[in-house]
Amino acid sequence: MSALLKTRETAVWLILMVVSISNWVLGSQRSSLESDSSAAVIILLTLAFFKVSLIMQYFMEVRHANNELKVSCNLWLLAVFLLVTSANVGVFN
Amino acid sequence: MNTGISSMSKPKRITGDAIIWVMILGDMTNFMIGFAYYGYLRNADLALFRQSQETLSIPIGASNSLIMLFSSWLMVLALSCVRQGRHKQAANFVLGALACGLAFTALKAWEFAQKAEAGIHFLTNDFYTLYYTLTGLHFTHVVVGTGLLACYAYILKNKPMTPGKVFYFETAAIYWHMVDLLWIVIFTLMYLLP
Repeated sequence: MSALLKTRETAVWLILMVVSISNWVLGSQRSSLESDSSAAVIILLTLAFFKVSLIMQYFMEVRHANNELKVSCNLWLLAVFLLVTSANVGVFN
Repeated sequence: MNTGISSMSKPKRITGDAIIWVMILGDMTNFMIGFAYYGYLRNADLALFRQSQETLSIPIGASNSLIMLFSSWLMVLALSCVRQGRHKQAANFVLGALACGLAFTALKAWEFAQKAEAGIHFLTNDFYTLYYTLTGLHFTHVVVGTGLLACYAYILKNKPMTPGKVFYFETAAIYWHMVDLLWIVIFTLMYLLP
């Protein structure tokens, strides 16, 4: 059992939990972040997509995939991060 | 520290069926377009979106995030056990992931019911139209996933998975991780953004 738990994936899961709790704390200060909301939006979305990246690389095992899947997933992630973040800071308005 | 399931994988292979990757990247792209549209409408009427966001419970959304992350990790452990031929232990991890999926659906259903009681519905305003569309679609993905996990918990409880079938379980695990990953972005956008 301990060999099963002492893995890189468990370490990644712990990082994900810590980042999630930090996000929760940061997001709870929502009203105080409104004065500089663009910076807060970028920080919160960067943290969210960092977590998405960890899940894809370690839990979905993209880092061990062939180059076609690895490149496709990495490009997809970069494209959607830029799209979603730009839209949420008002670039398209 | 060993590298867990990764070290047991053959190098340079795709985990799960290649077609699931086409499906999940397509499915996630649809969600991401929805998230970008949410951002566009949010910036068009920031005051309305902030006011509507106040009706969402951050503790419930955050609890659901932690529940989904925990279930994702349990699926990583389950897949590791399946690859090692430890089917009964794998079944227990899948049952754990299934319990997390059910807890998520219960909390989300309760949140939907609270909104309905307060007279908030799909057409109340643009925020709620997107809230119900995106969280509703995600909710159906969770329900489908819990059904899938229930089937695998039953299968693994009763017999070991032959090496040729491991690939199907990997596909189910990939799907479940996608459900977790989508909630991370939904929670950040709808509950946390200032």
